[in-house]
Amino acid sequence: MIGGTLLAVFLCDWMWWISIPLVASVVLYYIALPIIEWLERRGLDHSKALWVFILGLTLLAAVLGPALLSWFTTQAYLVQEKLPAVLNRINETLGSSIMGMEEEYLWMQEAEVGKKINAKLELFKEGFVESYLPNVVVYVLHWVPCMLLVPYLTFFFLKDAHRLKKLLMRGVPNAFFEKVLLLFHRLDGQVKKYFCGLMMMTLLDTVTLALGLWVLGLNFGVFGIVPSIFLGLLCAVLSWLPFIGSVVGCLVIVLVCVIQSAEPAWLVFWAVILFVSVRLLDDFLYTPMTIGRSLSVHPLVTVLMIFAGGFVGGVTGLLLVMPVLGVAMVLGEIFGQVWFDARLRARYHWGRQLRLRAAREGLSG
Amino acid sequence: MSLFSYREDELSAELTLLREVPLFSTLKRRDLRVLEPILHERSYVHDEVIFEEGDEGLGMYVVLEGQVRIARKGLIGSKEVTRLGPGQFFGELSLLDGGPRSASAVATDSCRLFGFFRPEFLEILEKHEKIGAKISFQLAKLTTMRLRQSIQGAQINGSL
Repeated sequence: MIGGTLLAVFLCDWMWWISIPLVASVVLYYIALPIIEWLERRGLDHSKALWVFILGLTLLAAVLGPALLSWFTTQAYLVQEKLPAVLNRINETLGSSIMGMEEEYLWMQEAEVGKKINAKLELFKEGFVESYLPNVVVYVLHWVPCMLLVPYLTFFFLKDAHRLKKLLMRGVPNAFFEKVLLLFHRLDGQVKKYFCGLMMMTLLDTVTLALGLWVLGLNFGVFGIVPSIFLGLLCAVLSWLPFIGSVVGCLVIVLVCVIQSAEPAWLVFWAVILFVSVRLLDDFLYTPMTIGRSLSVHPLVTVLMIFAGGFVGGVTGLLLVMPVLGVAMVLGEIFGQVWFDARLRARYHWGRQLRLRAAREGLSG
Repeated sequence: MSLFSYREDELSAELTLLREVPLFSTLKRRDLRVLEPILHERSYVHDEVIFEEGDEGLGMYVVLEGQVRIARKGLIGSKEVTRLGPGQFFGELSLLDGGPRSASAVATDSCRLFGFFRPEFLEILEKHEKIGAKISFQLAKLTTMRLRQSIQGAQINGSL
């Protein structure tokens, strides 16, 4: 199964322009489905419920979009203004630490570690805009067209899910049909529950982090309530990516603290304490309360798979390895239960023989 | 096609046939359109097994074309209970209770069936109560009719 997952990750990386939008659309489909089903239970038919949902989403984007855009612009301006000072501060702290170590260890002094690191940092500071920014912009731009597929695919998944399922089931041989349909329904139900739990957990994470950041912000005179909510939501969504997401989330918070505050050391300290506390709450309280442990993969396997996915498929592999592992486990379970049922296999072979016989009838004249 | 309305003239041949089936006879065209995406059409050849007695049951089938033999295991081999033709249905007990199949179903002819399954039926009951109520009522009526017939049969045979 692990080999199959890595092969699938390799193929997904090769066809990243379709595999990433496809996975993102399936995730969004499961996130949006409970809302549409809730609307349907209120008496709207499926099409109307879908359009009401899209209208609601558009209105939300129209209301929140300008506020978030303005916050982003301010942050980008602050980054541009404060980044050289932040880099200098890092340079100074690193420099003094390395100098201390060089005084202690002769081999470091001989290797001129401090001098080399300083040279690298200077090069990064001077050449950042020329060397890295165009690459970042090109990288972001080449993702834009394929990400435009995401809302399009999600819309059709939401609109025609039953028809797509029917189409898939049409390819299943008669002997296995009922069993596959039964397993498919059970797994579909489990995935729905998983995503409902994930949404609840994201909400709890967002509220806890936002409250914590807001309180910290009051003490240090930095973030207001809206940036706190936004940062909380961003970190909660990033934590969907196991392990790596949490690290990136923590780095984002640290970066914002450093940029926002004149004396960031204590703010960063308390923000990291807050972040670690929320992660602990998440692991020991929120996750068992919401998602449960039924779908979880062993942490060791998760970490190894993330590294293997990154090695096989780079950034695409990092993003896709866990969803692909989930799909591989589901397919493996269905295949295992269906194919290793001797009676079903016998019925399948019997059905094939009958079909061949029926096809041959009348050929001899 | 408008996203908010259904075109009355686009009912497929299968759905038109489905209106002849007693179970769905009280449904309007619009209701049948709601059912269309959840009905699975399957084709079987002569002697092919549809399901076996004791299998985990998932739902019922409606015969569109051909004939199906329903049989139960006896002391010596299997005993035919009935034969069903176009418009008739079988496996409804599993649709209601999701329990194991009480008999086996085998195609005695090349046949085409519509499968209607429990998870989707429950979804219909939850989201489209009127359609769900119409199907449930017809199902109860037809199951009662079958029960009465088997009681009468048993009385004639003297086992009751």
